[in-house]
Amino acid sequence: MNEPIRTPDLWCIGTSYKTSPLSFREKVFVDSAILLEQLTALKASAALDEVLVLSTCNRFEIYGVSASLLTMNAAGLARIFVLLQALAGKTAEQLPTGEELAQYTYTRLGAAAIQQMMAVASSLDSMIIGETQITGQFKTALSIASQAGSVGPILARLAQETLATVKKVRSQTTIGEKTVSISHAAIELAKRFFHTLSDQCMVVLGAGEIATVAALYAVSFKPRRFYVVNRTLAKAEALVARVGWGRGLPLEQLSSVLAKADMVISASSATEPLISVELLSTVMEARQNRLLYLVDIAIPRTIDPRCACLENVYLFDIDDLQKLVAENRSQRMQAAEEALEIVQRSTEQFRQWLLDAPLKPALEGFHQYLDDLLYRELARTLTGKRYHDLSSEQMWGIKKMLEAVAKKIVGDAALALHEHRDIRTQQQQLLTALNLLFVQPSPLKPYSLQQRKFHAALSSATTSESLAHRLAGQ
Amino acid sequence: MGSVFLAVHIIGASLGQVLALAACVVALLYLWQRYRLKHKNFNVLSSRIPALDQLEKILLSCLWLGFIFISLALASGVYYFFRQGEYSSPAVEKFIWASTVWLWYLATLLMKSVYAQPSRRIAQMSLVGFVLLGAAVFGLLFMFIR
Repeated sequence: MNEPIRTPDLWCIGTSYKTSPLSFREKVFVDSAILLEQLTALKASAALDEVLVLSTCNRFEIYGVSASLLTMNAAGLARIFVLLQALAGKTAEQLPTGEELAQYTYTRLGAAAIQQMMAVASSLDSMIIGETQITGQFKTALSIASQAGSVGPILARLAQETLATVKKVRSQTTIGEKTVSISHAAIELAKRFFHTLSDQCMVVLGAGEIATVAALYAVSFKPRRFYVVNRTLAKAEALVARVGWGRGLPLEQLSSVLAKADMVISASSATEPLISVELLSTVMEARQNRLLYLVDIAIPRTIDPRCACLENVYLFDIDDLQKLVAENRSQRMQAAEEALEIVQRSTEQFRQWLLDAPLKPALEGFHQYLDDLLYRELARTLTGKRYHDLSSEQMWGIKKMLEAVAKKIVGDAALALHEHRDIRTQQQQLLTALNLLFVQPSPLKPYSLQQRKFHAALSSATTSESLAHRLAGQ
Repeated sequence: MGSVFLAVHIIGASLGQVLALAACVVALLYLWQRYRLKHKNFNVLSSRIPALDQLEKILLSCLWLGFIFISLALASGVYYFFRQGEYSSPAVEKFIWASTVWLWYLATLLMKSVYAQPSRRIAQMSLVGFVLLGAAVFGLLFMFIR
């Protein structure tokens, strides 16, 4: 009965690429498949109400809600961090030391933990700001925690608000609009030349690692025709097989392919230019000066820079793309500032909800008490002999007035509790008093049945006398 | 009968002029976008306007449609003035100007479809064509008013 009313305590402990070297992140990494089993064990062992773990190559974070105030400090959270590692089957040597924990981990409490989750899922804390992978990883972490049953009302609500914030960040800022990868930038730039990439004939020169990345991204636009041209035909064909689209051709067929191409990405490892200005001049005549977009991301360059002077030929090299990527990156940084404001607003909204959460049952109980009191007294007054000639309109008027008074009292109580929300002990005292006086145990018995009967009688009664008769008849 | 030709002449000329104006605007956009891309200037505005190939298509569509309407206006105008027996000064000058504009647009379209000239040249010729058309319209208006 006198159990203190507690505001839920949210916390986070983690490590990321910003605070720790790769060796430490590798050490504490726990595979998602193992997490499913370990979350339940962690929740039970550490007496946590709720827990969620986000484990990626760049970060490892534990978010939790706990009853014990002991967890709400760095040492307590560090114990939970180590406990999860131990539960994941790591030996004593593999566990992080106290020194490592102090040096490489960070803790966030309350609003800071809320903001951390929202900022991380919105990709504001990512290595490449605005990338979308982290949101998917967050959803996976949430799904695992839900399956393990380690997510309760608070973390579930926080995750829901976090995903809504991610959506707002994506739709209200330009954070994800501009690419920051060279291969992707090459294709993105093509959109300034071609309205639809699916209508174009794309050519990739080379079959190495960079060519593969470019080919995979290019093929995602489903070009009308796609060719991989390489000195070794087998490698070109292997790349075509990997991307599942197009045709591999030997280097000897380059000029005939150029006559058909709309867009060429060169990522070849050749040491001499593959496309000379003389070759391209001839090709452009055959193409009737049709627009040709060339991208040379090979080092050393494999397309003669003089090709850029030809009419309707647009040539970009890695430096040009770097410039584009740098501009995009700076635009993302600007967008990140706007996104942070969104995150801060959402954090504050969730903090308010979290603070109001323990007040809600007490205020509802108090309102119920007042309603009980109100209907009891109303029924007694209206059925008394002194007011036997009141009309239906007058009775409803009195009822509405009393209801408004009850609502006002509850509103004032809520306001008083809200005003003390930042002074935990005072709010606790007020809540305890409210509970003791009006909520548990209620001095009045539940009156809902009588309330319903009273409402039914009041609806059909024309005077207070007839109301008394009707209530007496029930 | 004569009024029908006059109506066709007025409607054709108006639509032709609107399309010539549209071609001029698209040509300016094309040349601007081309310049930015050739000079590797990737600003936000250039990513907001249509792609080069789309601008090229719109330009050619405007030119072809505009040319058809101007041809219609020229033919109906010649027929109308012939029926009216108008061989006086403003009508003849109007015919000469309109024919010059018509020939210029014909040359522009032939440069693209027959001689496969680059779109940059077509865009530049569209601008000149529009200047000629403007001079014809305003010059003749001035003559009629005088």
